[in-house]
Amino acid sequence: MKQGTESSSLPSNTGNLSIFSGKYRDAIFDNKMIRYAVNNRTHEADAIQTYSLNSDGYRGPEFSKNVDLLFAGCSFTYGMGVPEEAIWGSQIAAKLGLSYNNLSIGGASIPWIVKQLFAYFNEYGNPKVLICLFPQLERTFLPIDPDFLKTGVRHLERSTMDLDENKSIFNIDLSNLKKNSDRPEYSKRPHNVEDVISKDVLVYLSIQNIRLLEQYCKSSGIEFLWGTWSSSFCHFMEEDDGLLNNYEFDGYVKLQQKMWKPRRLNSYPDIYWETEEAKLKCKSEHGRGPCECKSSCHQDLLEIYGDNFSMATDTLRGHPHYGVHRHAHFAESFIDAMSANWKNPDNAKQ
Amino acid sequence: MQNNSLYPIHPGESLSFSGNYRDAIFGDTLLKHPNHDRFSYLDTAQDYNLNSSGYRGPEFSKNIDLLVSGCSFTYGIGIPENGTWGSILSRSMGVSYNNLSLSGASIGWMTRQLFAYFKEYGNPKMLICLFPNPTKLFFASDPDILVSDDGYVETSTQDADGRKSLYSTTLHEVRQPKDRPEYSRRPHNLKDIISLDFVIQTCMQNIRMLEQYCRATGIKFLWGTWSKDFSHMIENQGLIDLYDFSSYVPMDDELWSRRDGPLSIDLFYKNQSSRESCLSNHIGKKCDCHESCHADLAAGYGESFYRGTDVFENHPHFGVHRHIHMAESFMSRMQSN
Repeated sequence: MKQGTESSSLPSNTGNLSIFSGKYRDAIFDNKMIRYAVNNRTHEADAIQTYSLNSDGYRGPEFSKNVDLLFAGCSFTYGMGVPEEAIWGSQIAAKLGLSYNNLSIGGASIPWIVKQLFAYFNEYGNPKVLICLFPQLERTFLPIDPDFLKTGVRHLERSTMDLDENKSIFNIDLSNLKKNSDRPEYSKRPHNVEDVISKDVLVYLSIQNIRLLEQYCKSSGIEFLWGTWSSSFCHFMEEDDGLLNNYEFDGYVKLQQKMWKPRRLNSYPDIYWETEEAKLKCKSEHGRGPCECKSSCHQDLLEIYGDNFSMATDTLRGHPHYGVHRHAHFAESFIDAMSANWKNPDNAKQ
Repeated sequence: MQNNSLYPIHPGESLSFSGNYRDAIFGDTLLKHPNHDRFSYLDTAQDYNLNSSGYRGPEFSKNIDLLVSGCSFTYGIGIPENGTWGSILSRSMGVSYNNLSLSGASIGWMTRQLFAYFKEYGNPKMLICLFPNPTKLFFASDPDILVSDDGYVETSTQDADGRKSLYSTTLHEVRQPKDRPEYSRRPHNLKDIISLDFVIQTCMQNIRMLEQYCRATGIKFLWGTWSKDFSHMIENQGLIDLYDFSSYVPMDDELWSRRDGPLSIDLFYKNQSSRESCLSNHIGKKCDCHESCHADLAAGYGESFYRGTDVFENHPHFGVHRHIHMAESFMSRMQSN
């Protein structure tokens, strides 16, 4: 690929409607991965963790061809606030003796994850196992033309900027969209994305991307599992009349989100109940007050990680991340769901 | 289906997904059009025989040799089924084929449908797509927030109330930013809100995913476009020199010209010099030039050889002659590979 230093425009009946240049053009038209050679989105603000990035700007080992395990997601899979070896994907790889790559970045949307995965497959071949921890459905990957749209809820992807540093592709989180009835009746250009985008569009784009990925893996012989940390997405999947009971989602893994209770924002520890009864008992005893209940599981990890066991050092106000404890449970859930030959490290490599 | 799935978005408020709308968004099965009469009632000259899934051509069957996909041009508006480029190609190669095309289809619709087809019927040996302009968007409407005034409503994707559905909608006439209204009123018109960048990015990503799927599964994949805007962008503005477009097949658009109007005749020149000669001799007058290639087939197809009977004003479709040349272009690339 030549460096994207020139411009391409789309002719139309009304003239040149759009100009694509630089890395913005590359990100839209190329079939290569978006790389983050200077990915300092989060770790500048997180004093405790050391985030070693590979040469493509991703956390974990250098990308290599036909790796055993590829996992992908957003900041929860990137491992914000926890050491690299404690990320749920790293734990799976360590327990099963598998090589792995981690294709994750803070703020990622499902469309970003899927776009990147297809580009990864193109460059590095297919992994044997793919596991994704998806964010909520209302995130999307959106090119922003500043003449039309603006947004305040964004992760600017600097590695996708055009030559004028005017346009780029954003991962944006629209989960806090106003109710339809509360949105302004009139909007002025450039429009706030939050005022004019319908959630239906976002839900459709996210689900369809998952469907494309499912079929790719099915046809390519990749074992594909996925779950979500999003309680709303999780509820939507697992409720009585939810998607799981109506449609085929073979790769979906329940992550037992109902068994966890986060404390207050920013520095809360995750509290885990091993049973529904323990959860109800705790709730009845402590109500809305402080809960000191702690699970006795994974005490070995508690000794290693200290405070990181129950809480991550969080740098995003109002959006806390999980400690090592919950990562350990995610890893367990995914390992349980993996086909039998992967659970025996001796068989896995064969 | 009467069930309703509610996606929690605010305390006490949920997004509602019901009926066929829910199935279309969350299911992984092919959108079928058993009562598909979108335009056949407008065009009585042709016999549009549909298979049991609502698509033109043979019944869908497992592990077919050749799958073709596209919009109305691949569906074959105005011409007999045996004159569509997909049908011609399958006969020329002596292979079985299916045609997964629908009038008004967008690249987003095609990609969704192709992956669903792969799941239901397995992978074809060859996949050839004739894409429309990359300025069509396949999207979900919400009549309270965002609507389209000229989309193709996929009636087979409507919710239980008939309020929501999926659309393929064209934004190719979208205005320059400065020409768009400064203010927009809810429900917003897609054309006033959505940037062309978003639509093109979505379309390109879909094509890239299809390419990778075919590469990984051993499907021979080729694609072209009837859209002059799209082919110009790829061929003349240099994208093909910058990025990997090895599956792309030029359709030699520059060798064709059309008369104006809904009953336009496609004129073909075998080379650029004959085209320029004709244009200089007939400029401002009717041009009756027509190359003699494939004249042996003209008699068999009658008027539809030169033109498609068009039911859409200002959006004429090609006759069989051009379909033959498109089939030849794909065939030539297939043989060279």
